[in-house]
Amino acid sequence: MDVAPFISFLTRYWPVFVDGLQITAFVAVLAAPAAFIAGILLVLPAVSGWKGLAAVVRGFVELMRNTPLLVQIYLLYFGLPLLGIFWGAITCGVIAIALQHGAFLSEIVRAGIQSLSVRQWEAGQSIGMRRFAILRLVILPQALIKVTPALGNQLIVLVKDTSLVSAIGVMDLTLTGKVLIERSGMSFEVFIAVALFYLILTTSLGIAARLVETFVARRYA
Amino acid sequence: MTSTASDPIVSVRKLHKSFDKLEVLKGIDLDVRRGEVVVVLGPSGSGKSTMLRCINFLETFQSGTITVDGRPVGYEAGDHRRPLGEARNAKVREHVGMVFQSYNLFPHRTVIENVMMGPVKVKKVARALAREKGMALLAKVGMDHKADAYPGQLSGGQQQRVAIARSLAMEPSVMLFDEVTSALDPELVGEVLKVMRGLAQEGMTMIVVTHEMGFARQVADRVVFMDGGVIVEEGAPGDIMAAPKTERFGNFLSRNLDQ
Repeated sequence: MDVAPFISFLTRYWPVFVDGLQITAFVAVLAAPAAFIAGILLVLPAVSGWKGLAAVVRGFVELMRNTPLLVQIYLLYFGLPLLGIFWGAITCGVIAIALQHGAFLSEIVRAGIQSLSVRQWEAGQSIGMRRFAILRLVILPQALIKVTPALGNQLIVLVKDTSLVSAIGVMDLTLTGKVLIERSGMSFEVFIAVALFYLILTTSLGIAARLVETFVARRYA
Repeated sequence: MTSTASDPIVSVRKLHKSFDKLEVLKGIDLDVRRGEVVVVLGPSGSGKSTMLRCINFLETFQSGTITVDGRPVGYEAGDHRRPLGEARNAKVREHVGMVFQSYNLFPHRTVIENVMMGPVKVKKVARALAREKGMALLAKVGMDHKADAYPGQLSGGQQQRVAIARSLAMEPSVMLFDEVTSALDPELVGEVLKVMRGLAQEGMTMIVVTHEMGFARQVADRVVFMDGGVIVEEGAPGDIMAAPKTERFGNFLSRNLDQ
């Protein structure tokens, strides 16, 4: 296969791809921290012993985990206006991604917390710390260190899931690709390019996650 | 709170504790005076660790009362046995230092941060002051040279000495030691016992659950022998360890003394 036409295609549409890449990165940069915060908040009731709230959160997490993200995005984008709420496509996309990934993250963090010895709680109690302080200063940091690899993995899934916002008209990498096919007729080349751009994003995140993992392992092992 | 030297710091009355149907403490009475070193001996399963953990309210108990410095532990004083709130339990625990068999340092924090956490987060001591006092305590247990190391980089004996410093940082009224040398390699036991001996000489009130007969004989003001969830015998080590009054204690001693 001759790569020259592909290169010329790529250079020609480079600025368009970069615009799409920026939107994808923008959605990911908003959704990832939001998902992380949601994940922590969703795990709190269960580990703090707030039984009623924990049951509600449990139901919410199951609902989020067990329905497709695309359906959730549609629900927010097309459903909320029926309630008189008009949010932009990016807002709806970011919220849906943050909630679903928050649900998955909360399960990961919960596993990390449960893997810690009850003795860490007791050590905190014995110096007079209260439950929430122990959770914040002793338990959560250690749990997060333990599940660093899983968090990195989830982050990569999240970046790829941002492509679903193309379905509600956000001009991200994926939608940029679709539009470019119509403009250029080069469907194969377009999606090779789109895949490459995603690869650049996810691979660099993957490498960063590995670095963090190694650092954490070396320091706390 | 006013107290004189004769007032008990720790007072345990008719303490009963069961795990499900298994009763492990069957009515314990124990008073520990200020500056007293009480060593609790007994075979595995005698309830000695459980009693210690009740004093810090790491275990709930079904009946009886415990007070530390006059403060009720776990449950409201008086006839209504209402559980105290979390805040009041935490408040009592500020005055009770506890050292565990498995050290239980915070592995994600450095040695000095472990020692500073209680004072800074619970007592709201300024960081600089907490660090200064923490370094002094680490020097006392011979660990100041490892202040910036992580617990995982230390030997068991070193970790245990840091754990003692971490408890001391809260300036407790009483220190509880729960088999603190049992997990250590034999050659590391001495360095931890030495620190405990030093504390005893400074007049720290201590309740020590241990299998170290030598420590009991040399450091204890009083030895308490537990078996089957009750205190079988107690007295000055020179008296009761030389001439046990009960057969149970006598047998226990003859099984353990040559160690």
